Amino acid sequence: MNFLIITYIALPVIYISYAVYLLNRRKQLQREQREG
Amino acid sequence: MSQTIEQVEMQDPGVQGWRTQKLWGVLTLVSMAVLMYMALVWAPEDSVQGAPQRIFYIHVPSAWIAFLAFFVVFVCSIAVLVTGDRKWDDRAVSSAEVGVVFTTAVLISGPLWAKPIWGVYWSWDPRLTSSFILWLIYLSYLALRSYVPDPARRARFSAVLGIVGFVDVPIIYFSVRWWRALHPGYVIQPGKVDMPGSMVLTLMVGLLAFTFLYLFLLGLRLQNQRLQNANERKGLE
Repeated sequence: MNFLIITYIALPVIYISYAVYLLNRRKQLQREQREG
Repeated sequence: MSQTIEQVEMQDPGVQGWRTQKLWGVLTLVSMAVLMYMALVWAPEDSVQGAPQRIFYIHVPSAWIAFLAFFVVFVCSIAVLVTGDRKWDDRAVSSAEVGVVFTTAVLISGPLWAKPIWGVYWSWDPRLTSSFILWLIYLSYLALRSYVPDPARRARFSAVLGIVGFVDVPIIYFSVRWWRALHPGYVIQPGKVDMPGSMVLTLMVGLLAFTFLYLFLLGLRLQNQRLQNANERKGLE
């Protein structure tokens, strides 16, 4: 049961972390673009 | 001259707009919520493996979508070599990075299932080994790109690796047939399904949810790539 819970927490954390990284990177690239 | 995200999107019709991105995001959230309910509550418990079998509903779709991501890399890499158009390279690298994330999820969820079932986290079984090699191949693909500064050469070199690296995908798929392995074999084959209908339906919902997730992440990554290209061009002007 513990392994099931760990898996169902770990995998969403991986995918959400990557999505957040992409969104932050997007903001950073847009900022660089504006600042020239 | 500075470009807005809309101008960047217009340069390549393959880059999804922000509205399409939101649609994939909403579809991902809704389908994932349905999947969680089906996988953890609705689907019956496996009589042999018990609760850990439910890991299957997120492990298998993650693996299938990783294969899809690397197939996209393979097709885009061929297009790079044939056309020399940079937009194919943008699509290839975006799909490769997303594919590495999905493969990482597979390599984490697999051992978490294996420990209660096999008694060990890892075995150098043919499918596990070839999956680990797949992860290394596409990490190398991403690393290679940072060592080649010229965009045209970088696109060509990584296209070759994107094509050759895909050879590992059929090896992973057929490994349970070609070699005696610890990893479970096929549960769904043409004309033969080794699971109750409710488990198959849960797996299919998982596949749909992870496809939406792939499209969402790929769109975000591709937009970033186009923005990065625009910034690099601006730096050169």
